[in-house]
Amino acid sequence: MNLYTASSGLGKMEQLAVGDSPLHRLPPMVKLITTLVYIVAVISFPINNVSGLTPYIFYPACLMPVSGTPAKPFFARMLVALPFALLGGVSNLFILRDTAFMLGGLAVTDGLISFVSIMLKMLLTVSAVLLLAATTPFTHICRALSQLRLPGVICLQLLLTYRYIAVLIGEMITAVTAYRLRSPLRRGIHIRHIGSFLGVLLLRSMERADRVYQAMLCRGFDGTWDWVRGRRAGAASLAYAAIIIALCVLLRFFDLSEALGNLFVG
Amino acid sequence: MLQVNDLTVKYDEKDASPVLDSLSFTIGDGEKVALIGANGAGKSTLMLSLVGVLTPTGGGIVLKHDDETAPEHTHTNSPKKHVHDTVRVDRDHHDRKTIGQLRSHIGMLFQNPDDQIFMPLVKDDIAFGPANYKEDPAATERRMDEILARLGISGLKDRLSTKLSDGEKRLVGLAGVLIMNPFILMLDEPFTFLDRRAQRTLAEILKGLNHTLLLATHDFHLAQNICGRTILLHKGKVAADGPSKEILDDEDLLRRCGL
Ligand SMILES: Nc1ncnc2c1ncn2[C@@H]1O[C@H](COP(=O)(O)OP(=O)(O)O)[C@@H](O)[C@H]1O
Ligand SMILES: [Mg+2]
Repeated sequence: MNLYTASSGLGKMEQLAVGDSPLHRLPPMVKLITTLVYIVAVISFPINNVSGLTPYIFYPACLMPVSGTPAKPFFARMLVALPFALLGGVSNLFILRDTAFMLGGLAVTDGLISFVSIMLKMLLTVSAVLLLAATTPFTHICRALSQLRLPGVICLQLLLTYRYIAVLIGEMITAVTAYRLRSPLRRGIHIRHIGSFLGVLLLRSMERADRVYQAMLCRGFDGTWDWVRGRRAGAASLAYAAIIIALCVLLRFFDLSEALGNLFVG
Repeated sequence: MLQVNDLTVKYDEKDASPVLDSLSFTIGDGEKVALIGANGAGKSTLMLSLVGVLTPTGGGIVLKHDDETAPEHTHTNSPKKHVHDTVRVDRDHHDRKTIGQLRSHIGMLFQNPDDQIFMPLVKDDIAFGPANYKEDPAATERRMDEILARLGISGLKDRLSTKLSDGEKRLVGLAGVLIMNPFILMLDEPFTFLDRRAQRTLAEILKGLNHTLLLATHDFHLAQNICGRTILLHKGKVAADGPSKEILDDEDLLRRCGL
């Protein structure tokens, strides 16, 4: 992945978010709440429980096709989070070495189980967030957050941070391109130049942020923002929320894989 | 009417020579004025002072808005509360309320459209200004459609603001300013980044507006085409002020001012 594709990737989700599907049409608040419930349910599983976690795949498995989210950009985004989960998971492999049970002739350690569990949790929560981002414009998510009584200032900060990341990447692209054009023989940036490079980048993006802020002031911005009300949730969206929340809660206390396993094994 | 009286601006109080050095001029309602000058002459600084981003260290600005002279603004659902106001801005009158009034009358288009547009979606960005003045969203939407149609960019409404061409960005930025119903419009080098055709489109649009216009530009041809009057800045002072044709044809004068 290079800088150019990264910056266009940033816009990709936002582009998907203005599409149209049953999921896109749901009120942002409903999507935000169901996403939060789902994430809390997944995260609250104990680290040694993989079988209970597995059925939660229903969420991305159903919502991806319904929302028409294309697989490629979706999984590409997911790869970004992968290293962090690996980092957290791999250490467990070495710390928790007690054998949990034997599978065939192989000893399955507690470490392996928790490794799989961490990876699975990462996969599920990140896909839930990505699905929210791919079906709801960021401004609408911020608005829903403010309706959940998150102070307007914080919602606005979120929005500005989001915008600022785009600015920063834009500045970085310009700076890197200018550098490369003047040092065609070198791959990457020489270690000697990194300091001044980052310094310039910081200054430039600070100036940029300052001008963006001034431009906002010129359009009547006074540091507060009254978030316009969103649509009210209709019967269909309430039903959607009820089903998702019920499933999340049910699966949390009832181990479907184990039940199915017992059914077949007897 | 916009009156600039001995306006002096420094970026740093300790600087010896000010960036704007007692500028004085008056722009009448509906007048279209070109602002020219070499790089660093102070064009952007002047505009930022006129919208209250920079505080004058000396002199000031008086803005009188006589409603009858701008009939276009009376029927629209303007966010402005005070239509017959006189706004005075100087070193001692630079509080939030005063600046707020100033900004509700003067719209500014920044030199770089990326500074101006900050919401991910075009329609959200255009609605940003009216939302700050708590305008009813339905009314905003109606006016937005009107303005987009006038600028010929109705198709951009649902687009992502980061994925627009430079010309499109410029027009979206302009829409975000126009929807505020300013009666004075200030544009900082709006033709940069644009190809010839986009430049001509924008010029035609600007000619068609009946706003008071202050236009900083390096394109003398377009300046003369749009503006009857030109103010020439040189090292923070007004070097010439008069009919565009006279000033822009005066090669000697322009050369002396670094152009
Ligand atoms: N943020 C700033 N801080 C300090 N000095 C500045 C700043 N911006 C501009 N200047 C100085 O003010 C002068 C006028 O700049 P500017 O108004 O941008 O000129 P113009 O727009 O006509 O090219 C220049 O000498 C410039 O160096
Ligand atoms: Mg300038």
